[in-house]
Amino acid sequence: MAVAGVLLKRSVSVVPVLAVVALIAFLLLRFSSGDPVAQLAGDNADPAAIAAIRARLGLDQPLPVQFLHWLWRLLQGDLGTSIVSNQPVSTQIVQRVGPTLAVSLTTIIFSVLVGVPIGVLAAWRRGGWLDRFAMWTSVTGFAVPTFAIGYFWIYLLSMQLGLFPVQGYASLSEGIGRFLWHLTLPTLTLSLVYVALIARVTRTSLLEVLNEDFVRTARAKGLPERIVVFKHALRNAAVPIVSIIGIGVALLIGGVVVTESVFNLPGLGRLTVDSVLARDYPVIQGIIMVFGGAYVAINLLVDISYSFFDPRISAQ
Amino acid sequence: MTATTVIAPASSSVGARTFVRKLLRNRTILFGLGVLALLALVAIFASVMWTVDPSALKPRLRLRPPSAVNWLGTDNLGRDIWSRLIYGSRVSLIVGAVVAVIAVIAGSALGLIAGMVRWIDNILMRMMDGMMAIPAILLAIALIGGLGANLVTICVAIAIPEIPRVARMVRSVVLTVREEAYVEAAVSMGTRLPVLVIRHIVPNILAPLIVQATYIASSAILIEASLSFLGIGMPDEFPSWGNMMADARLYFQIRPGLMLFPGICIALTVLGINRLGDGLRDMLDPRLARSVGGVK
Amino acid sequence: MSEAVLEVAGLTVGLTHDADGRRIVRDINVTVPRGQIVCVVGESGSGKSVTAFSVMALLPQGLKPVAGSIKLLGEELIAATDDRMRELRGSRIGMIFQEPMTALNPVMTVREQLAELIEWHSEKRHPKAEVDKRVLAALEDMLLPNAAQMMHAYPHQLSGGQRQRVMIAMAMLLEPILLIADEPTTALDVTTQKQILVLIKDLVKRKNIGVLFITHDFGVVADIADQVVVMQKGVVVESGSADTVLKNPAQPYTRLLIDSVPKGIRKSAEIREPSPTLLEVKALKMTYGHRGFLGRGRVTQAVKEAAFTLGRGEILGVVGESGSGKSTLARCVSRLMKPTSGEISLLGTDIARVSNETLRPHRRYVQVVFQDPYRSLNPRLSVGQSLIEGVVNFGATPEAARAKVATLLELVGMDTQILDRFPHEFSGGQRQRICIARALASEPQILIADEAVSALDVTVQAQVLRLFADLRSRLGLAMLFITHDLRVAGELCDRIMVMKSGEIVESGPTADIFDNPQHPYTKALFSAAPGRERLQ
Repeated sequence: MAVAGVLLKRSVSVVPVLAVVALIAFLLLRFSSGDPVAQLAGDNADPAAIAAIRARLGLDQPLPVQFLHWLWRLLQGDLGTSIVSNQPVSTQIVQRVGPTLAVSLTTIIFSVLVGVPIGVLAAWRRGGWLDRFAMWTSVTGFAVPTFAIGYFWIYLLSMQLGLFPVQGYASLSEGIGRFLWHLTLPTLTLSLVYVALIARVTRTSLLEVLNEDFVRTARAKGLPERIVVFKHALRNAAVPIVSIIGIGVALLIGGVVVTESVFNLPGLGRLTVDSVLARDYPVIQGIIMVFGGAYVAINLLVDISYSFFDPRISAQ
Repeated sequence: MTATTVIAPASSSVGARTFVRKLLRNRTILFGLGVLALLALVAIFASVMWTVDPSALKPRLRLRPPSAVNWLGTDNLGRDIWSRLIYGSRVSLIVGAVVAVIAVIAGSALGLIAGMVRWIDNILMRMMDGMMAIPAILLAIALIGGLGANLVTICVAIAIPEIPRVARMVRSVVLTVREEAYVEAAVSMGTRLPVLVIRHIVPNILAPLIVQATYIASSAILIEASLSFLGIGMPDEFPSWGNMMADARLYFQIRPGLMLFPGICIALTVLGINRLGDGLRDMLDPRLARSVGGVK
Repeated sequence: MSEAVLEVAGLTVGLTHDADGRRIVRDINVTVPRGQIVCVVGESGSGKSVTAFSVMALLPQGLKPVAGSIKLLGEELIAATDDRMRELRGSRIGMIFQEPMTALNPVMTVREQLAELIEWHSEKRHPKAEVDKRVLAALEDMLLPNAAQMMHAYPHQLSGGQRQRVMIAMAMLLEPILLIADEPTTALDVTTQKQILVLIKDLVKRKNIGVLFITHDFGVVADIADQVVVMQKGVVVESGSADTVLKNPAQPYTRLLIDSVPKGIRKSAEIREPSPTLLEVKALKMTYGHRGFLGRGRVTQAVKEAAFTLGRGEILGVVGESGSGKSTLARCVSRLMKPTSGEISLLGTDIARVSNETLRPHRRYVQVVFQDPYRSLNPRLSVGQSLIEGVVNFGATPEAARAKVATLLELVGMDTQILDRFPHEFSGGQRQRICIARALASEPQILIADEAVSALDVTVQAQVLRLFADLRSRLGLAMLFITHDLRVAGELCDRIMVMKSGEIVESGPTADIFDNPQHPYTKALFSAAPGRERLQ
């Protein structure tokens, strides 16, 4: 099947997933305690005024109708208006997306560049010092809360060694050097778990592949061991590695929310926390849609990339 | 040989005894069990562990260094750190256990249904896909934002995002086991669906489920700590390790211990549970290593 | 005799960390002369593959040669360095394996997999055009059609036979003097097997190489061997020229192996009376719909319009290669699958498309014995628990059921004291007997054996076939016997249906099919059956 066909098919398959994300985001608001309308109307509003706002927002309609209305506006790119700031939610999200995007990208790049080689070397020299070191690092990395890791880096690299700023964010317009300088600690913080995850999966899938028959064939062909591992085995282990990168995005986003708080980055994670504390539901809904959409999009890319790594998948 | 069968304890009492013996010979599992047992003891006997009221404010004794009275010093409100650490184990253990139980029960029910009834499968799995698209911590934050924060809502909010992961795993095991010749043989012998599920399918799910439950418990403890840290978790006066670390944010330059002690407690707890899970996984089925590799 | 390519003398393989001196193989002597095929024959666990992998120095971790010598053209291999062995592998010794699908790297093209041999076995770099030329020549040498296009194909785009040809092309690319073939045709259909055997024989003649051929099938041995080495439990029990060993085996074990090869001749040629019809299948169709996006998609017609009857006490063989639809047919008749359309009349009731609830009381009349005895018994249930399940389902008390299954175990030749033991304590053949006992427990009228003897060693296979024949005469059981092996069907069945691509191309009494096959496909199956000439 043509590449375009596969693309179209896979893209269509994410529509129901996004619809469910939208449904969850919608239901969250409807079933939350506390009346958003009362909040909107202020403390001393009379019942008539509340009813008027209710009607204006369409909240007097039955639930499915409300959902369809909401979905319709969503499709037009209208995420609603913040209760707190009265700004459109989309404007707010656009304003805050920069730092989140920046720290996520540096983390993904760093983690792949570090995690995959560690996993490969650990599998190649199974039981060696690197394998054991990587294993224990990942075991510990999984056990320590993200924010604690963040404070560890702050304590060590900022306060003791003075290498990096304790907190804060510099946008790209302030120069790439300053930008990366501020991103280093957040990236190191977020990466630990992600590197551990990627290294672990790389190691396991490589070891699994090394038991396959074609690896035996490669050895029977008299190929040097490094060719057997890096050429024959690693290419076959690519699909699980790429897929864990995609699945890990959910983990990454969770970590971003916490990390932004630790380092005081003005990103979407901070916006989420602030909105929850202020009960600003339209903003929370918008953020859920954005993060959910990002997750779906990245995993769509991952899905499509499978056919690049494994010719059998494109044949389906 | 048996490519997909999960070899696990036989249902006879002899099998159960050798299983326990195998458990106790595995150092990884022993370490995990040891940590958990210690924590359980501490949590149960918190009141007699040389503790004082963990929420008692002594404004005049703020940020004291360790002393004979306050073994680990006091925090910014003059509360005894030792006592708060000891009582904090209760929150973590309860959250870990309750979340694991909710997620496992709800998830395996959904997974069994999806695996056995084809027309529900499609709808259910689309729902699960949608839920999994929302990062667990974000969904938990949003849920708590809606429900308000107390022990029950926090447990529910952390458990809900885990349900689809359990459901997916259970469903995939069910689909694999259904293809086994011994299940087909039972079908052709006229075994009814409920018996089929209980006798031939559930035992295969048990092993991976126990393993996954440990990972869910440890991840729940981490998420609870993160929520407290963000100020969305347990009410502030409550002694939880996450709250302690959140309180320590402003003072950790003067007293790193405020951050360090609860951090070590969390890490040790999670480490213990994870090691237990790793050990069980390796013992019950090495092939599981990949399918439930998602640890937080 | 011509020059020896390979001389294995006194080879003993043991465990690397071995406390009690266990030996996997002991004192193996094998000589492979130039221009000859030496077959090492044995059942599972005989150590034949360990012998082959010792020569390649590719023993699984934990095993190592502890004594003896392996000489390739006089060069001692056991003492050779890792680097020297790597040089020899692929260039002087080629190897092919059982399962060509998994033996080829799925994410590399055929060209890449062949070209790297040239690349890693020579000092200088070769221009791409020259490499292409050599790869193409090697593929064409194996009679692969469209070799120029096939070079750029991935393994999954090839058929099983083509893959094995690619494997052989790869093994032969650098013109080795020794080819080691580890069960190279076991995973292939019988017609494909024939072609590969012809190809290997032809290679030996043209290139004057020596071949060490590992197999479990004396039929294959009879087709290609010049020399035979028979192994059992890690030792050589007999060796000699193929003619001598096949015609006058010196050892009873060799005799047993040869006799166990199904020859397709009915041992009891009793003519059975026409009997009441138990099962009548009409216009049965099974279509797998992969309904794709927007309603398009591929549709596989696994069974097209099957029709047959089965009478009491009759054994009907269904013979076909992989993908012929024979197993789908069995699964439809046993209603493990709901057919797309058609009629399955079981004792007068059409069960083709009834609901599971309606079906349940009828299930006891049709029971199935599956191919893989290792997966047919729930590993967590004791033999007794597995056996009584069906009996209890149909209304017996557990005590009555236990008494009943004890007699059944006796019937299938098993000890009745095993009820509380677990499946892992039994061998494949014993498990298959337990499965047969389980199938008989609900007093079925029809037994469906779906490749029930294919996974068994040849001596065990012969025993189970005798058991089936015995059960039929004692219980008057009707059987639908599904197999890929025409010879096996010939030994047991009264009538045979030959299936190909979902269609029944020929059916009739066994004798007629054997003496006078009509359909070209049936004829092809016969001429492909290994060992036909030399073993009769």
